[in-house]
Amino acid sequence: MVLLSRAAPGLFTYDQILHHVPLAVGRELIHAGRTADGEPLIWPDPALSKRGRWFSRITDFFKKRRR
Amino acid sequence: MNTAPTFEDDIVDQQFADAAAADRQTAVLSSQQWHGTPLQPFTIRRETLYFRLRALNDSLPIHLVRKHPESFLQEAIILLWLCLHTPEDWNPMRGNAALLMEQIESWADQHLTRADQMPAIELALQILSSADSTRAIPRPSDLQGEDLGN
Repeated sequence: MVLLSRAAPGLFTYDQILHHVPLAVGRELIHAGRTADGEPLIWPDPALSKRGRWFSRITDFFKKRRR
Repeated sequence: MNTAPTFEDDIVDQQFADAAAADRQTAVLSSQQWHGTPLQPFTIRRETLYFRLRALNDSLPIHLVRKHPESFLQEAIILLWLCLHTPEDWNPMRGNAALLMEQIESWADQHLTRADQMPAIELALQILSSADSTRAIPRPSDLQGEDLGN
């Protein structure tokens, strides 16, 4: 919440952040804000993180079970 | 008399405009849906409620989902219910998680068949992973490992 308010000042109200802004969009804006602040970040890609790869594996596991 | 010149680029072909409108509509409808009903966005409030209800159910840690896939069904149902309903639906019950859980279970009894279980789990995982897919990943320095961030 705080990170998003900082990343996009004045863009959303408290209520909008809580109830309307999808987490994926909020995280995109936080990423952009941090990049604008000069922080070195990798372009978000699930294949580049342990967590993202875990989600891909588990999704494949359930797809196979369904077949 | 001064009149604004009309450039060729200003004239939008009606056929082109209609095709663009159809494309936009398709893009909106191709977002996550459950039996044709578009899901509400997975927001901070929905995530908070999801974790609260998860804790109430003593759910297994998510990394054990492969060993006990059936345990994730309950969580998938919670996620689906939250994304199919609006804050007006849950706000009166926010203070009473047990009552909210009861409401979710009765919805699942009425709306989810056995054949819906696997698609529900897949959709729930899709919701969780897409919410996580844009999380910023710090660029690793030479001194740090490869699996940072996310």
